[in-house]
Amino acid sequence: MHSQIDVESYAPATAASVRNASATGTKLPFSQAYLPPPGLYDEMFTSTGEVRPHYAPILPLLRMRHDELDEMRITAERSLLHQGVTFNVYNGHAGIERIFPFDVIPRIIDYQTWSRLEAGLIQRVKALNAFVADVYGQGNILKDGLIPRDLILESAQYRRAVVGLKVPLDIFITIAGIDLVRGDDGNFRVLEDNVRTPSGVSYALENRAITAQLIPEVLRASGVRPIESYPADLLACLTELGSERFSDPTVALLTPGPFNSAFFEHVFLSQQMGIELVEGQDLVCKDHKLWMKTVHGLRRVHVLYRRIDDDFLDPVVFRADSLLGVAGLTAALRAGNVIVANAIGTGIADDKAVYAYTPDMIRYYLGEQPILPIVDTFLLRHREVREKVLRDLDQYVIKPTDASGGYGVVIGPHATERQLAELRSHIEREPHRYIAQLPVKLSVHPTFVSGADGKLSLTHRHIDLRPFVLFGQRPRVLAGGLTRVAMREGVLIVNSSQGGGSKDTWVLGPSC
Amino acid sequence: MRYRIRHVTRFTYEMPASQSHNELRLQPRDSLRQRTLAFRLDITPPAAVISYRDAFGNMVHAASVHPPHTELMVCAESLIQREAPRELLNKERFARFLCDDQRRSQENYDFLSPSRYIPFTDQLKKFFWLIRPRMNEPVADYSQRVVAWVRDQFAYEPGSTDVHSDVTQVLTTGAGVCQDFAHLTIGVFRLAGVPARYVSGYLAPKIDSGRPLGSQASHAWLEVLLPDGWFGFDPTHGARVTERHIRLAVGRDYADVPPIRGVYQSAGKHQTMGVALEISEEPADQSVQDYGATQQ
Repeated sequence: MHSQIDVESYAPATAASVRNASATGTKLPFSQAYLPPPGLYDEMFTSTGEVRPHYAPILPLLRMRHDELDEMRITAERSLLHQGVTFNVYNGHAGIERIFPFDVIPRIIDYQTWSRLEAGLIQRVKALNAFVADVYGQGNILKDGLIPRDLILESAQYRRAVVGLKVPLDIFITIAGIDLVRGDDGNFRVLEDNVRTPSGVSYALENRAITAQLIPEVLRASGVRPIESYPADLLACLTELGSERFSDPTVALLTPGPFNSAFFEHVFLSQQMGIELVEGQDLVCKDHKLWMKTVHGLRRVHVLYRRIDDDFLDPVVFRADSLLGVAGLTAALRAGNVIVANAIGTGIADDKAVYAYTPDMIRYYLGEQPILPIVDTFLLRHREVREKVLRDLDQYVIKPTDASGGYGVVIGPHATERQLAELRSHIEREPHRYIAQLPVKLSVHPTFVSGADGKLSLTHRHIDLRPFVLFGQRPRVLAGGLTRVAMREGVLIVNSSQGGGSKDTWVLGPSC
Repeated sequence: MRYRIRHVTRFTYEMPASQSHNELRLQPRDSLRQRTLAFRLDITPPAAVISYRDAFGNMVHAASVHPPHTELMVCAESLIQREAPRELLNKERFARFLCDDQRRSQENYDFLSPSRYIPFTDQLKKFFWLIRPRMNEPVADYSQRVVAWVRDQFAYEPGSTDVHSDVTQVLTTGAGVCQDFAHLTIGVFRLAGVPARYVSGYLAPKIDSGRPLGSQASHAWLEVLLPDGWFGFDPTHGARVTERHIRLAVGRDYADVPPIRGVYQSAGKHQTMGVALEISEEPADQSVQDYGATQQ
C-alpha cells in the first residue's frame, strides 16, 4: 500500500533517518510497488530494494497519491507548452514540434560522485581542446604516431579550411556536452562527446524551473546546487574570449532558424544572456569584419556563438549552396576580427573513431590518468577487428563515426535480421565510417509512466546524463546537466530526437 | 630564367553585384627552384585584402568588395626567378621504394587517397592495371613511363570536359585538357603507391613575343614524391616539367587550388569572365624594386 503524505506538511527525510532505516533493514512501503530490475543499476534503490541515502530528500514524492502526481505532471506539461519548451524531430511525422516529456522525479547525484565527475569532465574537455589545437596546428600527436594521420584526414569532420587558424586563449571548445552513462557496475563512463553545437542545456534549466514550481519546499530543503547561472557563465566565457582581442566585445547567437530542432534553446539562451539572436541573413562581412544589420545600421559582432554546423557557416569555403551562414566569415576569422564559438573544426574531437583514442589523448596532453573511463570501442577500419565484430554483429552497438544525435545508431541485440544485413553491407562498403561498442546496460531510474489504462505507475526507465562544460579563462561546469530518459521500456537510446524524455538533475551540496 | 607575369581576370555582371567574397590563389608558390621576387595584387573596385597560408602551404588572398559593382577586375603581377628543374638521378627500384610505404602513407595520406576529382573508380583501377609498375623498375623511370603513356592514350581537346569533370569523363571520352590529364595521372600514381599532387600554374611561351595568351598559358600538371623529393611531370606534354613551368599552388586536385573562388550577391544570374595573361622573359639584371613596397 502507498502511504499518502501531504508534501506540504511533510518534512523531507534526512540522510541520517534513511541510513538508520537501511541499517535496520526497513524497507519503505512503496518499494513493493516498484521493484529495482535485477542485473541493472538502479539510481535510487539498492539491489535489495533499499533507498540510497542521497535520495532521501525526495521520498515524499513517492508517497503521493496518483491523482496528485498526475496533476503535477499535467501542470508541468502545460507549463512547458506555455513557455514553448519544444524540440523539433527530423524524419518524423507532421507537426514536428513536440514538448520534451518531463518526469517529476528528479535524478540525484551525491556530492562525492559529482566532484569526481566534474574533475573528470574538466580533464576531458581540456584534453579534447588541446587535441583540436594540435590537429589544426603543429600536429604533434600525429607525428608521434599516437593517432593515425589517415584517421584524421579522412574524417568528415576535419576542416582543412582552418588549418593554422589561431583562436584566443587556445580555446577551440567553449561549450561541450559530454554524454555519460552509468553501467550495471554503478560506474560512470563517457558514452560520447559533443563539442560542435551541443544542445539540451535549456531543457535542464527549464526542468529546474518546473521543479521549483512544483515542489519548492523539497528543492529548497535538499541543498541542491543551483544551475541558474548557466547563461551568465556562458556569456562570461564568450566575453572572456572576446576580451582577449577587443574591448567590450559584442556577442551574438547565430541560429539556423525556427526549423532547427533546437530553435527553442537558441531563443531561450539569447534571451537569458541578453544578446541578439541572428540568422545568416542578418549578418554581413565587410572589410573582413562581421556585422549585424540593425535598424540603426551595421553593428559590429566580435563573438559569434553559432548553433550552425561548420558546413553551412560560409559559402565561400564550405557548402556554396548554404544560405544559413554568412559569406566571408572564414576570412574574417583569418583576419582575427571575429571569434566563432565553438571554433570551426572542433567536430574532429567528437568523431566516434577519435573517441577510441581519448584516454591516450588525456595522457599525452595532460600527463594524467583519465578520471572517467570510456566504453570499450572497436574501430571497424581494422580488418581483424571488423571480421570479429561482423561475426557477432548482433552483440554490438554500431555507430557511424561522423553522426550525432543518435542518428544511424544500431543496437545489435535489438535489431532485426534485415537491419543487421543492411548494416553489414554498409560496414563492408565503408568500414572506416563505423565503430562498434559493447552495449552498456544503462542505469535505470524510477519514473512515472502512464499505462494502457491511463493510470500512473512507478516503473524503471533507462537514463543517461549530459553535463555541460564551459571554457573561458577558466572552466565552468553546470552542476548536473540534462538527464535524459528513454520513455519506452527497454529502449537504450535516450536522445530527444529519438523520443526520449527528461528529468531534473540534482547535485547535492557538500553538507548533504 | 626570370619571368614577368601579368594575370588579369575580369568578371562582368549582368546586374550589379555586391558583397563579393573571393579566395585567390594567384601568388606563385616558392620552391628551391622557383622564387617570387615580387608580387602585387590590384583589384578594382578597391577590395579589402588579407592573406594567409592554406592547409597545403599555398598563399591565399581573401579579397572582398562590398559596394555594388558591375565589373570586378583582379590583376596579379609577379616577377619570378625560375631555375631548370632537377635531373632525375635516383634509380631506386619500386620494390625498395615500397619498403618505406608505412611511413610514407601516413605522412602523405592526402596525396595517396582518392579526392573529389580523382575518385578511385573501377574504370581508373582498370586503367592503372594497364600501366602498373614492375617491382624491379626504378620509380623515376616508372613516373616517366606513366606520363608518356597518358599522353599517348588521350587526345588534347579543349571543350571535351569542363573544370568540374572528374577522371571518369576523360576515361570515358578519351579526351580532355591539362587538368584532366593531371587528375588522371595523379590517380594512377596514387594507386601505384606514389604520392602525387596537383599543381596549378603557368606555362611560359617558348618565344618571348609579348603577345597576349588568353587563358591558354594557365596550365596544370602534377608532382610526385620520389625518393629524392617532389618532381614535376606534365602529362599534357608527356614529359618532365621545364623551366617554363611556373607553379602557383599545389593541392589534392583542382578543387583545392582554383585561382579564384568566391560568392557574391546579385539580382542577375549571369556573369562573364575574361582572362588576359601576359608572360614575358626579363633580363636577369633588371631591378626588382619597381613593385615597391608590395613585395612579399
